[in-house]
Amino acid sequence: MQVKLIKTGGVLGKTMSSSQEWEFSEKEWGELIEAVEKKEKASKRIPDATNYALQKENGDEIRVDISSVPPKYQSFFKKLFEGLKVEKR
Amino acid sequence: MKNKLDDALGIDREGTDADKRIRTKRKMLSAISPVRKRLKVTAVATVPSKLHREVYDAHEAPMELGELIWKEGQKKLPVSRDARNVIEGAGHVWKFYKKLFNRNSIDNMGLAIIQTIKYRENPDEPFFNAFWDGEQMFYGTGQKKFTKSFTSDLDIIAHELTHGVVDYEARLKYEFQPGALNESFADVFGILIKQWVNKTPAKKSDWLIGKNILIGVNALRSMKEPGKAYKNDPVFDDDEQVAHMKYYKKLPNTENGDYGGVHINSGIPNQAFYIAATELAGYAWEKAGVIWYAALTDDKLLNKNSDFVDCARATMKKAVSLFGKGSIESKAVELGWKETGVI
Repeated sequence: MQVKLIKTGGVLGKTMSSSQEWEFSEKEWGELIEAVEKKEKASKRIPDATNYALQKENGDEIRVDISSVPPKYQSFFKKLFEGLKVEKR
Repeated sequence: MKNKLDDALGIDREGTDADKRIRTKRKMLSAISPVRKRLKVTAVATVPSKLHREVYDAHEAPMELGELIWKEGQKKLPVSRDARNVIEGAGHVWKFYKKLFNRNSIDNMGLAIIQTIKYRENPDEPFFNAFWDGEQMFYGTGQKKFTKSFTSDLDIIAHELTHGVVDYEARLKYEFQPGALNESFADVFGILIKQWVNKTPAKKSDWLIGKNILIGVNALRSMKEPGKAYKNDPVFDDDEQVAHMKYYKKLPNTENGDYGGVHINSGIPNQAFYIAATELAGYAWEKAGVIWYAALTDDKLLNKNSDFVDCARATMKKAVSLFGKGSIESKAVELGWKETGVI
């Protein structure tokens, strides 16, 4: 499955993204989302904070907390981090 | 957020209460101060008007606070360059606000300035950013290939701490024009604090924000020439800032849309301040800075929903009340907002 990591915010205010093809079973994907999804909307916006989102090829997007990545999926995120590039707006 | 380093070292902070106590105290201070402001209770004598800084090291791991490596009163400074930068930087910011505006720290209530260096949100993602989370500062060491540490520029430290000041004053919403003003006030006081420390007159300043952080790039932003800090950079692409209302970027109020272009359209009020300050010459913090601070801290003139026109009116009103009707100061401020197409 093709998964895109979108990084926004920061003191520069740029959007960066990176895509990876990864073999996820439905169970694994569900497990990953369960661990990293930010379910609640932030009560207050923090200026210059960085935000992350995962987007599936069908366009479904979820906001993620990258400090909560389970060790099993860390290598997948490492690949995504390595490929981050600024997106033209 | 889990403290993975503590886990690795077998430290149980849940059982001890040092970190919890510090954060609770700061949360109480953060919660109390805006209420005091609304109730018009001024800073009380029991709040010492003394600088208090603490520096924590997150050791490149995701953690909320990190290990305490220095606090006010300790004569021996840490070896770490990052630690020294933030100790010195926060000291300059505190002194600037105290000496020029008699402001008692970020909240004007003596809030301790807590800073965490070498912060990461994920062990495999070097953090190239710095931010004030409403309670404390976080700094990353940067992405070695294309950035230096985010403690490298005094104006960035001052920019982020000024977001804290804005949060206790006009409380500008972080979206569209109020958000762009929030960003601009942070840039204005960021550059002013750098100029004040280096005693740089307005006309001799380069007006660049974050000159040392990005490798191979001039700076993060230019207040003199918004949109021209960098171009066709292989990593950062183009500087997207705009300098005039005719180029105002309409973007969605989403994370991907920079909340309506807060870092992009902030170029307009930045340019207005630059024009006013250079028109007045001398030291920018003595006149233009005083006018902008007076506007920011007057809740009858600026509030969470204020837009560029409100800010123009507020600063023009303050220029008149501080320096007189028809003064060169009021004319310079008006010129700044006119030249940028705001009024």
